[in-house]
Amino acid sequence: MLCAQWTFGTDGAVAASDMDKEGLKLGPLYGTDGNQGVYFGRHKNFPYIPSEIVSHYDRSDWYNDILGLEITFKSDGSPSSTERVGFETNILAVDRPIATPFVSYAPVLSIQYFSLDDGATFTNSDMTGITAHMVLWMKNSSV
Amino acid sequence: MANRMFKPLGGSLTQDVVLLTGKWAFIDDGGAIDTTKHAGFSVAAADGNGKQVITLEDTYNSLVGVSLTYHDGSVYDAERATVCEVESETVASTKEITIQHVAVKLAGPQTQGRLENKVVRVMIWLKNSGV
Repeated sequence: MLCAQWTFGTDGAVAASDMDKEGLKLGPLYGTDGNQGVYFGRHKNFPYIPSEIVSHYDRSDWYNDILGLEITFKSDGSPSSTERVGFETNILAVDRPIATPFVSYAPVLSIQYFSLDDGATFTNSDMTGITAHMVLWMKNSSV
Repeated sequence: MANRMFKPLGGSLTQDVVLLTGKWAFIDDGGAIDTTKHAGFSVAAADGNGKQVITLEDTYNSLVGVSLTYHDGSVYDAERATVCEVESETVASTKEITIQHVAVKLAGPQTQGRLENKVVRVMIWLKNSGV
């Protein structure tokens, strides 16, 4: 089980102090498409935008799969239509390919945020001020 | 019987909480699913109202909770955005949990066509004790 908590800042930023969790590295919420990258690694300096294969290969934690992702959102107490948040995963690559172990990407999960009002994607500004409490259940065995 | 494989869940103040996990993918626009990994239960195809019946291998005292995580690798389409509710459960008798996939934008049952290619990961929390 991997856990993280953060509050989206202006333009979907995640504070540096919230970015490095035990076993996780959180990316910001980019632009208007409602996507946020979550990367897996034990080291605080794990690069969430990998630029060199060996470094992220050494620092990454690979798993067999995820079992589930739960996020509880906390608003400011007066929820508006832009604060009812749903999510799905849209990129999931946490299992290292056996045939090509030196892949050019880090283990990653991408979360797609959308409005529970109309399904529209949340922009980074929509999410400003919302706190997320995330629990990720990982599977660490192929059995 | 799946009971033989149960391992105690650490950290729970509630006695004998069991966690069953699994996943399946919707492989066509008729609600059919592939038979992928799950232990302790089976799951049927989705019907025209977005409902799916999960059948447990064993009875349990009560249902603690069901958590679904949807994965959709397609280009984002608001009409495919889906959430889930539990419609009914009989885990203590006939061992069934009926879930319903709900379309966020259309505010009704999610269609079989819009479930196609989604992968569902499920975590089913059950209480295995009357205490």
